[in-house]
Amino acid sequence: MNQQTPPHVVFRDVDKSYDGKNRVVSGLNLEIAKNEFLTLLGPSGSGKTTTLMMLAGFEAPTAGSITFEGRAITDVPTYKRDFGMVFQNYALFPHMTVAENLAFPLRMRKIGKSEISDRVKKTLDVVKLGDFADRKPLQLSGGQAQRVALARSIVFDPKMVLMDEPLGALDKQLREHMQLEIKRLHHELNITMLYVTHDQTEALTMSDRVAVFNDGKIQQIGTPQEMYGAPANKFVASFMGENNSLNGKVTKTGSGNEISVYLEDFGAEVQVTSSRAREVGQSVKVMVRPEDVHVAPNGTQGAFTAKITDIVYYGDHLRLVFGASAESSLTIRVQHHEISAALEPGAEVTLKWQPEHALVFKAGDVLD
Amino acid sequence: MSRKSRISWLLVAPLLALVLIGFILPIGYTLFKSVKNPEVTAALPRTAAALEVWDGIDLPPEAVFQAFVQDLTEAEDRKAFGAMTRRLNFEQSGARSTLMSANRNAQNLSEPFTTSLPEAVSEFGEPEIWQLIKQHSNPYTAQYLLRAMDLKQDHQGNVSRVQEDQAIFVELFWRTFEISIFVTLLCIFLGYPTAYYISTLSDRGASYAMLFVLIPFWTSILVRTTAWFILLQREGPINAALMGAGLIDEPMTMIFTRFAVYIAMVHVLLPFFVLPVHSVMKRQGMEYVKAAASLGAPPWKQFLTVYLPLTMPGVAAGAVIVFMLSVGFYVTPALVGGLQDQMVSYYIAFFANQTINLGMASSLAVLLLIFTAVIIVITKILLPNTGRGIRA
Amino acid sequence: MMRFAVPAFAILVLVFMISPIFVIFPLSFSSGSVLTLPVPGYSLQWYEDFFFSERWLSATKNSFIVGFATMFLAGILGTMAAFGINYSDFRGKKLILAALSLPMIVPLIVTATSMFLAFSIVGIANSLSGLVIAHTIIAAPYVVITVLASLQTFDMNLLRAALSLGAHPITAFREVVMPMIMPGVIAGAIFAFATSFDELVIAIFITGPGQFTLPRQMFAGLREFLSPTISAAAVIMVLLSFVLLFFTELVRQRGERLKASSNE
Repeated sequence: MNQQTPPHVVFRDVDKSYDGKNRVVSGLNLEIAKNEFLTLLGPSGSGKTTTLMMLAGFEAPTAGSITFEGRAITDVPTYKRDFGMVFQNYALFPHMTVAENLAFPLRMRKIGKSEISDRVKKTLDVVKLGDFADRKPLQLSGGQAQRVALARSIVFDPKMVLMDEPLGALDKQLREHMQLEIKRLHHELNITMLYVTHDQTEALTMSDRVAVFNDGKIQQIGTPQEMYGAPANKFVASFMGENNSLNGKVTKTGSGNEISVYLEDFGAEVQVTSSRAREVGQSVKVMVRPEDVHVAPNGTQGAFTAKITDIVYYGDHLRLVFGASAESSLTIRVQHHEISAALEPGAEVTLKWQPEHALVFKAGDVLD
Repeated sequence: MSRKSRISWLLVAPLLALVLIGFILPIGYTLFKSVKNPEVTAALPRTAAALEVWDGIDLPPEAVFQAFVQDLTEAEDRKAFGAMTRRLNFEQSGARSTLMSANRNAQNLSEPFTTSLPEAVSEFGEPEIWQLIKQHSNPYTAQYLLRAMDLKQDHQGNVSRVQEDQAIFVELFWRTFEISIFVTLLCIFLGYPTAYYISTLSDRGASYAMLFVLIPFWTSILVRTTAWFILLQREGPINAALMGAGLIDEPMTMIFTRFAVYIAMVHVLLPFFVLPVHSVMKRQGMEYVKAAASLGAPPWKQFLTVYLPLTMPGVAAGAVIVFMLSVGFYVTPALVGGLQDQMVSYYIAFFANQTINLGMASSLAVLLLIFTAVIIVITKILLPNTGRGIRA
Repeated sequence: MMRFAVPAFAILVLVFMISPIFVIFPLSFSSGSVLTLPVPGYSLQWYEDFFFSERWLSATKNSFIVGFATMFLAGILGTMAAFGINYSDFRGKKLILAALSLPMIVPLIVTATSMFLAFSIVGIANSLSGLVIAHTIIAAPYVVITVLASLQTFDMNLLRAALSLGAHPITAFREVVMPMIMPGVIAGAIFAFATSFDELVIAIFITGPGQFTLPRQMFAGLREFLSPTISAAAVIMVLLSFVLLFFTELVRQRGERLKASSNE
């Protein structure tokens, strides 16, 4: 974040509760930089959508303040906030054509007819729907409808664009295509975008920064690389990408981050990294990503052996599953050439990982 | 109250006010009318007051006789007097003539009235007429309601059944109930397969088939009943067709019979049954039935154990609608039925419009209302899912 | 066997449901003077009778006056109430809903008698205005139900989108909400008109000879003087029902189309 430019949006100590008892959002402190693409990521009910709704003006915070460009906007009604918004179900006005849908915000701003048709045409071209001006929403496919919704949200040059799980209703291939489209749009328009989703792949591919929500609080905020490579707690570690979670007991600690942990399910002592101090004998969870575990030759220093429970074919790679219990099983990704084709479940292989790829968290609850 | 609630109240208020004043209040008034008994106190105020001290045994004291004669001689409102005589005659045949005689002779009586009045009109020497007057000097009475159940109460408060030739209302309610049940069962029997058939048709076919249901539904009940009125005549087309086909030699009397009431009511009420049942059937679809079939259930079992229970909420809703409508039906039985086929509604109208006995009219209405309420409560208890799956 | 039995039975029932209505058509063109079929010949005499009769024309006029008045009154009050009910979960909402649906549950004869008793006291028991009030009360619940259904299936995101695009709440309501729920409002209004136009029981109680509506006049005709003009009147009423049904279906289909495209 550029320290010179003041943040575009600031949430300070924001709470939101519907019944006075349970807080859907609690103690939210968040700064959105100008022109950044920030994704709010989290499971259902984590507070991410509520946060977006509060910024849009459809909900009011029960405590705290929200400022935009330095001025409080909590008392500014939605229709004066000048933020573009895209909904998951598109919310295109069914009784108006595509062109009329786009013209709507321009009409509300009392812009002249000829300028309206100009801007509508230009914006439709930006989303590559120039020929669809006279179609009705009913005649559009899902992808086309979403592009119209996008176009409508930017045609009036808003100060910011808010998107609430806009790609949730699309099928996989279309979704991936639209992710790139939105990213391209962000680049072209150079406008602040706030994106809400529960899909972590989307968050990783599209964002400048990601804020992971759970239980109404931000668990961690950072660049996709930081979120994936250095998760701050177990929740973030398991929510971002795939992650194994193994039971272990601390055997040796040292002055640095590297400690030794005994893996109970595999009967082996391994080297892992812990960002916090641990005590010998403490029960911990070791989390390591499937792609960070490799098959090694027998006898490699610091490796351990395990019996294959299952081999799963994934087309361009294979996954080897070790360990019977759902609680503590290890899945690794291997390329075809890394193992012998004759390998079968029941065989033993030697596994190794770099200590900095295996992270240690407190056993038990999610937070560390 | 939050701002939102206030706006809601403001929007709902006008209609609510109209319903309260134009509907709920009148019904309350009807309840009130069914127990109101103002005629005697209006026509014989002094008598009524004087009778309060009398215990009802033997004859009342001279003061009462005096008050009575005074009421008769000084009465200004002839209409009230007439209403009173009719009222008392309703309770006891012959009371009217007795009272009229008293009225004619009142001017010529002299004290002591305890002797002169019975001399002129002998009935006043017996306690009965006085007990009758006293009994109805109470501005409120349960007599109408009791009478609507073929009961009566004497001046001492004992409740007993009225004489056989006057006991018509219990039988009337039974008849109403019986006709309604039969009509409902017929509607279920005819309507269920029909609704099922429509639900199995393609969208286009279903649209056409539904026309056969919607057109009658949108045609007024009067027009449909009129059609049956015409069809069932002795010189009507049904008789003509039957005779033409050689099935009968001379025209059957169908109009003004119970048969006519049944067929016309079923015809009128069928759409009210088919529509909700069809809606539920359409919602349910055949998935569960197909699942049962794949599990080896024969068609009759698929129907009994899967389809019937699933469609029951719709059937219950349709049956309740049909039953309640038929219980309160007036037009159809009045037009095509005979006197023996009339239901409660006919007598309510009879008392209200023809004999202007508002007490009876409102009592019957109250009992009908209670009857309806009981049906609703029973349905809600026995079949709590009634109506689930029906779309407006 | 079952395969054919059910459809055959159902078709018979469907034919049974619709045919009696059509029996009055030929009868109304009968050149005879009694209500019997087959007709001796064809003639327009009964229609002439109808259209040249002061009694029938005035009855028809009354029916239209009361019908339109009911349509507007029930339409406006019912729509407002539906909005109020949908807008928030205010205290007493359930009770209000129960109270507003009572006119549908209480047997019509009871309603008619009660209104007759009460309206007589206020002096409107023999007037068209009394009839309009009565019809509005029994028709409004249906309007509320239809409009409420429309509102409840309305996609709130459309309203939010309009606001986010800079529309003042009132403008948003006018441009986005109203067009979407209009089909429901219109359907309710048409139903209110039909309910009033066809209504007989209340009319029996609350109209005097000068204010007879068309059904009331027909009823008198059936009970007292059995003239085939009644069949002409009946045909006219049936044709009117066709028209109303047609418009309702039209509106309903448009409503379905709008809903389908908004709830993607």
